[in-house]
Amino acid sequence: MKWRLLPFETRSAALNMAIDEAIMESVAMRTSPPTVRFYGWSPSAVSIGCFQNIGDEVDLKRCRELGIDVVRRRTGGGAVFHAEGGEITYSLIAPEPIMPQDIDLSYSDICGRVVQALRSLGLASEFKPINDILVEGKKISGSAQTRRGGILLQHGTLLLHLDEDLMFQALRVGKKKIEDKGLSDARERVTSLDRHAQASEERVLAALAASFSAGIDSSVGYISKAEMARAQEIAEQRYLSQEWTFSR
Amino acid sequence: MRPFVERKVRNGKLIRLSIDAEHNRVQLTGDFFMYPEEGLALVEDALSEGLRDPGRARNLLEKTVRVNNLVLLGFRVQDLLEMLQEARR
Repeated sequence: MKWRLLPFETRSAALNMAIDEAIMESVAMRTSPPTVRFYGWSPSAVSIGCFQNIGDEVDLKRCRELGIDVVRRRTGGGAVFHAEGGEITYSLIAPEPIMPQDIDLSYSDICGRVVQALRSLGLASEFKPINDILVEGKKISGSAQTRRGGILLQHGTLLLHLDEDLMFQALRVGKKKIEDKGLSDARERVTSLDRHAQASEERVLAALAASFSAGIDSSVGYISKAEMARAQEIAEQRYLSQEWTFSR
Repeated sequence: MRPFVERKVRNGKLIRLSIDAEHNRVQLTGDFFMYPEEGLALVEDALSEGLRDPGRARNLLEKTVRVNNLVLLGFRVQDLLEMLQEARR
């Protein structure tokens, strides 16, 4: 089965989430092939997991003041700060039958692609179940997966630069969240690529594209007009709606 | 009864179990995973029923997970039962 690789593009939080969902639909309808997509966020944004309480996780007032978008994902997992120009997000969207059926194994398989990309950049990292990738014990990448209508979507981040002050103005991180990691401050838990290796965004993207396409038949493609039109609808109906964003 | 109980599961996820005592409802929030995600409402129903009738909590939860083929990631049914018990103290 041929895969489609979508080159890096930067979009708003709502549209980014809606595009992932629109692609899920088109893959389910077999109007698009399995897809790997790379993207960035503008403006900077916080995404929260679908089961999280928004008030517990996000300083909404500070986000408004700083012009930071806030979006609720369809996937579970934790709150993530997506700095404009500071990270690469990937999404992998494929029919379940061509991916590992076991959820833990599929996380390991997909996150392994990111680990391999980092290795090709000279950076040793490790997959830490359930959904993290660590460098020197600190989190550089987190992922979240959902499965709907026979389609697997996993999206995840790779931190390139870290503006901790901005990140922790936007996020509320309770002590409970990090207590089992032996940390007193969430800032001790995260890192970014530029602290460990010198690599331009283009080089990192090339490494990710090479790793995600290893062993599969793939070609560079584009988001179709139909997918983009559907994404605009989904963004309006779900990701920009107060009902969805503040549902918990 | 406590309004909420929070647990960071070791090598797992953060779960917050909140109780609306007026309506006898339990809500779960946190950074955990559940497949399919729609199963959360069923788990909350089972927990709410278990809050009213603690002797049935385990059966209700285990049956809900089994019958609906729910996959829990980052926590176990046992965590929820212990948190429910803690909240009722």
